[in-house]
Amino acid sequence: MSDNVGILQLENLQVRFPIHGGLFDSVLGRTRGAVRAVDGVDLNIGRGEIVALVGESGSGKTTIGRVITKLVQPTGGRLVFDGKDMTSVQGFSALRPYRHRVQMIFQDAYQALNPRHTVFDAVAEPLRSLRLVDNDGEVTARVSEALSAAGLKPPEEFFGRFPHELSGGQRQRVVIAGALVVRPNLIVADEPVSMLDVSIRAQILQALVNLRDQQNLALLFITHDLPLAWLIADRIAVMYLGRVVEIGSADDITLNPQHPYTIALRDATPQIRNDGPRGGIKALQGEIPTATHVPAGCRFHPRCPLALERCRQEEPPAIEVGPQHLSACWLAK
Amino acid sequence: MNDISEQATASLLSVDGLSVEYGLKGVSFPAIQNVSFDLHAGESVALVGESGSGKTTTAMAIAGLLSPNAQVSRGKVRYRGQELPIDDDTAMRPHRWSDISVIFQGAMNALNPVHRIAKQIAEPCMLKLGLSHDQAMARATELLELVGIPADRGAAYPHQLSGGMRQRVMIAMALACRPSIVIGDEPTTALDVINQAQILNLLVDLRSRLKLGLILITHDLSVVSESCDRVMIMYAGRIVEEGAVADIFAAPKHPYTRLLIESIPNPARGKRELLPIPGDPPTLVKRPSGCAFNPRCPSAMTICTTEAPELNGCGQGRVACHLHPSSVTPGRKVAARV
Repeated sequence: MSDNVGILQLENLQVRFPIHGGLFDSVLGRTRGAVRAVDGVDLNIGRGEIVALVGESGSGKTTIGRVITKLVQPTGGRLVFDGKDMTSVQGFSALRPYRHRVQMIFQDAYQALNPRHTVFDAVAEPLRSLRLVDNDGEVTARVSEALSAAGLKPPEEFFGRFPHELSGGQRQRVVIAGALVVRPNLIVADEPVSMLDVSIRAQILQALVNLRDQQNLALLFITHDLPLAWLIADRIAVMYLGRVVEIGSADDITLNPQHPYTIALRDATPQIRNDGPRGGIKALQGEIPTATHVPAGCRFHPRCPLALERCRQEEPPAIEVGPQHLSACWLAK
Repeated sequence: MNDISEQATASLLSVDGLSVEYGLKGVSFPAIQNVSFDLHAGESVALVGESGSGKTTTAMAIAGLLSPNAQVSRGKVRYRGQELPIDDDTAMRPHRWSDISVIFQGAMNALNPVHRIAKQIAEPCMLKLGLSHDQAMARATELLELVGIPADRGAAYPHQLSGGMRQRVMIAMALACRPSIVIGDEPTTALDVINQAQILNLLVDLRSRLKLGLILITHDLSVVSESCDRVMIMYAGRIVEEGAVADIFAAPKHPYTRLLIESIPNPARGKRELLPIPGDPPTLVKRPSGCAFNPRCPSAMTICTTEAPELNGCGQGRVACHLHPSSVTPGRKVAARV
C-alpha cells in the first residue's frame, strides 16, 4: 500500500506555538519559550490507505491534522501532497485547489453544522465556496451522491431537514457528506466517532471504510482509542509529546507492541472480559508533561517503567523492529 | 461480591418501579419506565445505555436532581429502608452530599474557575458537616490525599490542573460528607485512556476502602467490564437486561446486549470486523410500539411489535425479551405492573 508514491508525506514536521509573556515582553517583541506541539514527525500516507494516529490528549495528534488541512502553519519541516510541496502555500485562493482534495471531519457533529442550514445547504456549501460547480443541477447531483456515499439514503429525503431533526449518527453522516462532496483524495478525521453512541460507531466506521474501498480515498484517523484504530486502520502511528514513538501495521502495533508507551496504552485500555473484573487496570502513573518542557533524552523516560541511564541522556532514533514496524526506543531490537 | 439472594432490607438503596416523565409543550413523554433495582454497600452497579436511554434520568431521579420539566410519575426510592423524598427539593437537601453524592460529567465545567480547589472541597464540609474553616480545610487536605493529589496542590486553581486531576477533585468533593452512595455520571468519558484507567482504579479502590455503593453511568461496556460487579442495560427508558458482569459478558441474553458487546472492537477476538447495529436509537418523542428494540433486532418476532416484554428473572439475572419468556426462577423483584 505504501510501496507506491503516497498521497501525503510529512518530513520532520515541527509546530511550535510561541508563549507570549507579559506586557513588557510583548512590547519588546519577546516570547517566553514555545510549546513544541509537534516535534519532528515523519509520516507517509499511501493512496487509499487508512492511517490511525493514536495518543493521549496533548500528544500533538490533532495539531498534525490541522497542519495537513492547512489550518496551522508548520514552523519547520515539509508537507508534501501528491508530489507537491505545500509547506509554504498560504492564502485562500492559493489553497483552493488543495482544499478540495484534502478535507477534514471534526469530532463534534453538533457544533460542525449550522442549525439554521438545511442538510442540502450544509453539504453544498463547500462546492459553492470552492467554486467547483456553478450549475444548480450538478450541485444537486453532487450533494445526492455525497449523501448516499455517507449512508443517508434516499438522499432526497434529507435535503430539507435541519440538524435538530437528525439523530447523532445522521448528523455525523452529514458532516462526512460535506467532506466527500468535493471528491477529496484525503480525509483527516479527528475523533469522528467519539461523540457517538456505541451502537452507531460501527455504522460510521463502516461508511468510512466503504469510501476507501469504493473511491480509493486515503484517511488519517485521529483517535485516542487503540482498539478502534486497530479495527479500521491499515497502519497505526503512536504519538507521545509531539513525536511518533512507534509505527507499524495495525496488527503489529495492537497485538505485538514494542515501545513501552504503546504497551502502556494497550494495558490501560479497558477490555471486555467474561471472567469479571481483573482487579485494577494497569495504569501508567503520572501525566503527560507539558510540551513547553519536553524531557531531555527519550521524552517518555520519566514515566517509563523500563528507563535506563541512556534514556535520560540521548533521544532514541526510530529503529526497525519488524517489517515496516519502527519503534523509537533504546530497548528496541 | 454481591449476593443476589440477599434480603431487600439489607440493601442500601432500593429503587422500585420508578417512572419519570418529561413535559414538553404540555405533552409528557416517558423518559424511564418501571425501573427497579437494589444496591448494596460496597457494590458497584453500572447503568449502561445509549444517549436517550434514560440512564442519567434514573440516576438524577435517585439523587433528587431532576430538571424542572421532569416529574416522577410513579415509583419509590428507599435509602436504608426509608423512603427518599426525591420529588421534594427542600426535603431532599439533607440527603444530598451526606447520603448520596454525584460525580458529574465534565469536571472542567463543574468546578468554579475562580476558587482554589481546596476551598471548593471545604465548602460542602462547612455547610453540611458544620465544620469550622480550619477544620474544613484540614478535611479538604485529607480528601485530596485520598484521591491521590498532593496536599500542596490544594492551592491550585482548576485551570492549573489537567483533566484527570480535575476529575479527582470532583471525586474528592463527592466524598466530602462521607456519603454511602456515590453516583458517577460518565466520570471518565472526557478523559483519555491512561487517565481513564487511573480514575477507574481510584473509584474501585475507594469503593472497597470506604464500603461505598457505587452507581456508574456509562455508555462504554468495556469500562463496566473492568470496574463493576453488576450491570443494568437500559434501552429506551427501560432496563432490558440485568446481571452479574461476568454472566452478561459471557452469555448475554437480550439481543441488544449481545449486539452491543459485539460492536465493541476487541483485539482479543483477533478478527478485524465491523459489526454495526442497524438503525438509530429511538428518540424520547417517538418510541416504537411493543419492544422498543424491535425495529433494530435481528431476532424480532410478531409479538415484539405489539407487546412490550416484561423484565423477568432469568437464571441469575433479569431480562426483558420475548425470546426468554418465562421466568425460570422467580426474579428477585419481578416487575409485573406494566
